Amino acid sequence: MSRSGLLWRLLAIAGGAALFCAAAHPAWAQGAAGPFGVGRPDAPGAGAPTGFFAWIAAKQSLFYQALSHAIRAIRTDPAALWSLIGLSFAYGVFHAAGPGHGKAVISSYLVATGEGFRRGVALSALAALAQAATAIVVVGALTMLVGATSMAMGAATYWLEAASYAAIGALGAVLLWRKGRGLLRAARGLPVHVHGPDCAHEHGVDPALVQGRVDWRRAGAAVLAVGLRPCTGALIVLVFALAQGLAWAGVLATLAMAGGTALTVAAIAALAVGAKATALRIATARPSFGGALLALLEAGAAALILTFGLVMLGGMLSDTLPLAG
Amino acid sequence: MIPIRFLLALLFCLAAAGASAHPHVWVTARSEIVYGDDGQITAVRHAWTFDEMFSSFATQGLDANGDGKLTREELAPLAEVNVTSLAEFKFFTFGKFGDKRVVFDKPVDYWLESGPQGLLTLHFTLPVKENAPAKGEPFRVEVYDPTYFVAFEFAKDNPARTVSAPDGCGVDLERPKAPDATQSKKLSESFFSGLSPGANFGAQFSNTLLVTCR
Repeated sequence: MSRSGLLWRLLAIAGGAALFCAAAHPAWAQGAAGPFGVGRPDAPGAGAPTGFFAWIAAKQSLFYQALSHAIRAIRTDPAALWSLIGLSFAYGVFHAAGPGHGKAVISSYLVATGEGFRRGVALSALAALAQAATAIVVVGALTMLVGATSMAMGAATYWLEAASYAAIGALGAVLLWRKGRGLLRAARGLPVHVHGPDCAHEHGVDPALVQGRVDWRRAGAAVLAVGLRPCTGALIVLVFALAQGLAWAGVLATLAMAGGTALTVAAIAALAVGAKATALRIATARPSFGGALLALLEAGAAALILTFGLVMLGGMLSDTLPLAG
Repeated sequence: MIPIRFLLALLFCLAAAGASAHPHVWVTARSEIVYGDDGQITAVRHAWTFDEMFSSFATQGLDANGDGKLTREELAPLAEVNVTSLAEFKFFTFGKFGDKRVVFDKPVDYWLESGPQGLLTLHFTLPVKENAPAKGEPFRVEVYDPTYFVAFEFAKDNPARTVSAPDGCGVDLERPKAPDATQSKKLSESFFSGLSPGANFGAQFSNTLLVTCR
């Protein structure tokens, strides 16, 4: 089989898989407002958990419900602060396994850009922190200063979420534009990257290309895109703490949650980085199509980010989808 | 090459399968099955009490006169939003008999009340629009959220009753099976089966009101 023939077959497989998963994505199944119009689900159309995820859901429900008691207890017993922080952290760890915490975006981003493990961890932590900050700012600005209702807050988070998905889509588009060109070159049997005048090497995969340069603007965009969307759990805990006159406890709980979320997202991101490393080993072993495989992987990840952003945004903005209900 | 394909597929679908919700809202439900003069069901009347944190969240900023109490009038806009938003979720109320589905109309008589410890209760009545089961025909009403954003549990005492039902008709509540140790073990074993999306797992948390006539 010719190199480009193989590549097209790979492309078809990856494309088919992406389409299948996108179609199976429950975002199409449900509208955007949430069942009570206040407090939006973490992702439009998040399905009920199955298997392992049901177990995770049960755990985080347990921690989440214990949070209200911990917040109340602080008023009489300052030592309860530690249990609040511990509970929030544990909740964050399990919670991040659910939708809307940037696992998919961060992992795909790492695959597309070739960032390594350490940068992956840093990105995950920053994204979680940005999400916490958004929640704190939304609640702080809207309820403390303006006295907004939960309904107004719902509207604000709706648009923040839409902006987040739009930004994710845009990030995916930019990455796909860059990586897609490499893939097209590979499909024509050309070297994946253009050799500059001072580039005299003769090999399949350029290590510099593999590791990728630190593009902080691009990384910042990824963090912002994910972090724009506040997590519903954090909003509810913050407002509840505020109503108890313990706003600071709510802020601490939110930050501890972000810590737990970062841990899970980083673990999944590490998985993505590891998967790509495996691909790279094979690529270096067989440079003939290694570069093409790498290009395919990166372009595929970029396409995934774009699809994710578009699907989620589309699911939000169109309340009456043919598949709804 | 094959392991990559698998890793890729796993990674792709992890994103999709991982998009499973967990409750952010807990509801303690009480329901009534309301009958008309002809002995047929005319409506389901719900009273749903929300958990402490969601109640606190939902009522944020609604105490218009700042007296620390929430009146039905102050809560009216929220009640309106609640029932409007619930429409898309079919009010989490699924009436069935045989292989037919009872079709409900838009809710009437809805309001919110703020009870002890600030717990919020949403009252609403769902009139039957079409497909009312014939007089004396057994049917069931399931109350659950297939997306599992809301966790429903029926009240410990007086969870369900009938209103002006024909003689001999009554309602029994079938609660979802409580997850036990063996089940959570089974759950962790089914990690990989859990990666396949599409199963309507929420149904296993369903509460079923069984209406039968002697």
